[in-house]
Amino acid sequence: MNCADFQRVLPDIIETGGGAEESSHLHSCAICSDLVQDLKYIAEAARMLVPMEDPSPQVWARIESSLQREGFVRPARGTVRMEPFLISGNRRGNFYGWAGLAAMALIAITMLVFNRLHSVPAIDTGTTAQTPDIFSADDKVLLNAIEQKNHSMGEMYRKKLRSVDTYIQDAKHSVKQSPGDDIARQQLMNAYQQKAAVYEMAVSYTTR
Amino acid sequence: MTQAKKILASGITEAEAIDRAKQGDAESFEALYGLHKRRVYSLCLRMTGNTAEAEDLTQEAFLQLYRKIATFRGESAFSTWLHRLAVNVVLMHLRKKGLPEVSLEEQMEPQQEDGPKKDVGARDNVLAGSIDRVNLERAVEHLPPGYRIIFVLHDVEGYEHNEIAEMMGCSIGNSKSQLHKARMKLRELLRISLHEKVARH
Repeated sequence: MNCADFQRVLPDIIETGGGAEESSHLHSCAICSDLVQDLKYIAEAARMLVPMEDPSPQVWARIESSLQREGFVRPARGTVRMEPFLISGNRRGNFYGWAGLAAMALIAITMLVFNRLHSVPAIDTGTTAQTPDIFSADDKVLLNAIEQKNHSMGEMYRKKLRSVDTYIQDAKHSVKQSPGDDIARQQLMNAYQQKAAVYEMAVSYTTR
Repeated sequence: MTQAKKILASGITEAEAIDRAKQGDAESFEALYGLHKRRVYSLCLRMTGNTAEAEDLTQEAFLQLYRKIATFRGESAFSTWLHRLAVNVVLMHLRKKGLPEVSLEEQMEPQQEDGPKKDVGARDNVLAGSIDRVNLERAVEHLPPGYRIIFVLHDVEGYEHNEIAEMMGCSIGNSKSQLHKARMKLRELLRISLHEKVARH
């Protein structure tokens, strides 16, 4: 066996060690021996490449923002990252009030358009009999429309809406308990915005 | 300590965090991100060789994780499942970009330019003991994309050839061949780096 023959079967030799013929060449040829030694060493050294670097903090900020926008998560109370406040004093309260109203108006408009496009009766399919839901009449109309199109998507939206409705209830409760709490107001606004986003996605799905 | 018993900074186990994340709990999801971000990011960075792309892909992998976490049944370790998901995200991205992965027509026979010098030339120093992590990282970065992906998946991440073949839609022989060529190319790059280092001193 010469070097060319040896190197033709080199991947197998590295993996399995090779047969008697390859072994004999390996012992007699310094160049091929060095080559095998190097390739084995590279494979071993690759294990030194343990993960060392973290992504920048912006990556998590973008993930969190996407998840909230899509209505997938309900931020834990008091742990939500806050945007800097640009509005001060009483005007802040008014701002949150208007923003919440705007989000609710968006939901209402979305539903109005949706109802005109689809005359879907609000029939409860009973799939969640085991869980007391807090769905509004609009929620139920939307869920029924999605479930009629695709049952598993309906289940997914049911979870999303339940999550965002719970978030709204929690945030409302916090605002009721501490009317002057900016964080609670911000969370309520976020909650309504999330619901508007879920509605937007759901209506877009049913009208596809 | 097993994955399931691993205690996160938030005081809950990984298994509990997974269950809570399935219910839409943002804090638990953040805890899972904190636990796995480094490994996922490193994988994306090594496979793409580009920091910005790696960050975008890390973001996409975790978003997909959240969208799919309800389907995680615990049949494999969570980290294994997440890792596979991340690999698929990167491969999908590379396909969209049209970067070469593994050619299906790839021959098992080593090509002349990929092979070592045959029967000629003086013996050179072997690499053993002469390369450090930084040199190796740099050399991996300089590998052609197709070679780099296979090398990272097999030698760094520990995937078997059959798994790589399945993920990349190529044959096992093809995966082996690309890995061999990747190691040969790395050897060449590391030797150049070693010679330069020697010349400087």
